[in-house]
Amino acid sequence: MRFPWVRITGTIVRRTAFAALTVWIVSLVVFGALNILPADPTTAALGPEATPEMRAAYRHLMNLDLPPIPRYLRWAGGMLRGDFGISVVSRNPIGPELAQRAALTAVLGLASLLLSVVLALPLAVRSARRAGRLFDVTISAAAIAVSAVPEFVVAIGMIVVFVSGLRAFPVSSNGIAEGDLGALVLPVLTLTLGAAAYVFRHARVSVIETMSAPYVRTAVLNGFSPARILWFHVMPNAAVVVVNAVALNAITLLSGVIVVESVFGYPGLGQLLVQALVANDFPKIEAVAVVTTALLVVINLLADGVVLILDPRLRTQVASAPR
Amino acid sequence: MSDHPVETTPERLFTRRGFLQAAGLSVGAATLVARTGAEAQPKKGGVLRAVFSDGNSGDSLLATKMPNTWTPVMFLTMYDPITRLDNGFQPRPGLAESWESSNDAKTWTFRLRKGVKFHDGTPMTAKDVAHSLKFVMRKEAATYTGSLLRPYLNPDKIRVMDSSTLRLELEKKFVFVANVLGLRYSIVFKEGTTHNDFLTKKPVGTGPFVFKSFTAGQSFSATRNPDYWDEGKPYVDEIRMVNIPEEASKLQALQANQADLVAYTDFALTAQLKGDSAHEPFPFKEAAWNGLCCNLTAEPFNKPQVIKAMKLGVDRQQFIDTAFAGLATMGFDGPVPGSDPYFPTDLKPVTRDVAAAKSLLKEAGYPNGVDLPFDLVTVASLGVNNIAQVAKEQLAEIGIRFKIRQGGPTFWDTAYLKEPFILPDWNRRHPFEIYGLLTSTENMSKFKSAELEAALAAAAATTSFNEQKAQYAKVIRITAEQDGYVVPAFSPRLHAKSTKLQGVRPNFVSFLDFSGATLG
Repeated sequence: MRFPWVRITGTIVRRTAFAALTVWIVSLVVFGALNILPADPTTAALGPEATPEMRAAYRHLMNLDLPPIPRYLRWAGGMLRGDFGISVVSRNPIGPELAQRAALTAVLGLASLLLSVVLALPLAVRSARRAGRLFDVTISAAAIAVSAVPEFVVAIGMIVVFVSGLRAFPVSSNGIAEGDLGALVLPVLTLTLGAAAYVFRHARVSVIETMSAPYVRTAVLNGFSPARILWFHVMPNAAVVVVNAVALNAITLLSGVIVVESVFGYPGLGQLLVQALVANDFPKIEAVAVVTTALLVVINLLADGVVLILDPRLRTQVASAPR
Repeated sequence: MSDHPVETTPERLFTRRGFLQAAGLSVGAATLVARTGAEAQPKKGGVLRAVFSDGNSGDSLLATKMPNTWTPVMFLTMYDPITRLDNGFQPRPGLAESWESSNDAKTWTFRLRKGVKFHDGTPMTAKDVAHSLKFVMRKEAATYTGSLLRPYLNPDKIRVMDSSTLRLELEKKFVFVANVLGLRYSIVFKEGTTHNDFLTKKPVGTGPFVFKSFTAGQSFSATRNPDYWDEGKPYVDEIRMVNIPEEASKLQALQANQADLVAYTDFALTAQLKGDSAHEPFPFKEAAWNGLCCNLTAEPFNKPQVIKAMKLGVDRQQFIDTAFAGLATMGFDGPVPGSDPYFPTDLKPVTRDVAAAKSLLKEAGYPNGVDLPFDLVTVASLGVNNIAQVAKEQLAEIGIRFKIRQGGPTFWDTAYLKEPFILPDWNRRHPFEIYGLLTSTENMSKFKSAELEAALAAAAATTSFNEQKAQYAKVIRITAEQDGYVVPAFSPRLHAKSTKLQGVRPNFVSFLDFSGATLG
């Protein structure tokens, strides 16, 4: 116990190593799966009217006729150097496109996460403080209902209301690439609804549980104001659950963006992945898969780190855990 | 569907005199139109917004690669092919104003239109055309034009005679050179353009619109070319193409007036547009054929009676009404529709006869019908599942039972030419093209017929349209009666548009030609 930070650092190093191992295994699985698939990228590159002669020439040009192991080594080596390779369909470098798409997905994801927390937390606190009353029952029921509706349906509903009905926003969100923030509204709202419902449900339960903890009762008996109890005693402890919910939301959002980006034509990672899958653009699929996995792993690591900071009990556990 | 001018038959277009007369008629018609008054002039201006769904992040500005519907539309707004194909696949004057061949069809001379300018203001010459043709003919360019021309033409034998005359000296006879030069890969770009130029520089063509912006898988825009050689055209100021993959979103974009046209949409859309006076379905009829393709070497398709029973067992009118919302036309169990200029007028569609079909099955040794030992594998294409479902129900009534399996996005790699019973999706083509494919690398039915091969060879040996027609009539008839294709209907490609949008010409080269489009 003399050097708790040494153990904490060791834990961080171990988890980072596991994270890297996870990304490497995913890269192997994705590469292997794509090689087993009987799909042929030349169909997308050249069109169905391409003759076998045209296809063979193209395969040779793109090194697709190399055996899988040298191809994997070449690709993985490139990834380690930050070179994501070349699209076998467009023959353009994948890296710049991936960076641009990832940035747009990050904007969409972060905006949705932030908005979901801003919406859900006050509602959760209010619901928790009025647990069992009409407000709580109504909001809780709405949250469950929203969680049960698939994002695809929510997205179409958004279009019907805000595009066809109110004519307030564009259907296509590809204006976001030129900085049109209006194009961001419907995808963000769609993702936010589900995410907010999730955060609300977890935060509400956590606040209710924390409010019934003995130290909160003690604070009440000490005559602290309700606001002080809430913000200085309840919320810091409830925040651990909220952070985990937000981290899980971030992971769910990464899959949600595939649907939402397709419906709205939002030019992010999700759309890139779908288009790469349609075109059997193997290097692009692999690049998106590895980058997405890396993102998930990093989000998990960050969430663990934040929880460690927020909850002193966990720090103690980590530091005293046997090696 | 054929849109030949009455005075200019395809037969006559093969002769110089025919061309001069055609040109004279065109000038006369143009003068007449000019005299009838200014009200006949199409309205200029506006931005045409079109929505597509198959744009892909793998698309690029490399104009020799057009694997989907987005790219041909995009490229053909900026580039022109050497000739123009009408919707009966007959070559018409385009950048090449006229052409003629030697008697043995081995030497072809193309006279280019004078005064045509590239978007950067430089004049287009025969050197540009020769370079473009050589570029697309390279094996590594992997273009359809290249694969069609290479067996006949050595690129070194593309001769520039003068600034507006190009001569192709073929190694062997080929009568469809002018047709091939009208295909989408036969576009003209500037002399010296390299592969890298396509990927790194702004596209410069002679087409009706000038490149403005492009983001792969998302959007494309181009502005009106004020110097376009086709006088008066184009009429709209700008074309904006946007990619929205989701069908439901596309329709909403149209109905919320955020788009003027949505391309390639589902047949179910026609019902949703009922009662919407501002928007209408916009079908390109007889654009595709989705037939049941039976491998004749696989049992029970190896028994001719079974194939005949299937052809008798389908109710073609019901297909048109239910699977195609009434927008299809009668199919003749082959790849050529009834309105094709080569189609034999006396060939009638097979009328459904359940009793005769059952009797044929009995004759083939299946008195109680037959459960096919394989599935019908369908391509992932709009409307195809409806076709498969109707076929399944109708054929079950005569005793042919099977399951349907969706081939998904890997259909062309996993099922096509591998499974014995498939339902693919083919764009309509000129008979020389489609039969060239169906009798070689794309023989889905494994059908062999010496008579058919002889007729194809005879059609390819003459420059006379009538003689070609007589030979193709034989080919079409043999296919309808003996081949393993059951094509109950010739299907449309369905688009939808605002009623204000007029003059868009669906076609087989660019798919959608916006040069004559106006926004009312």
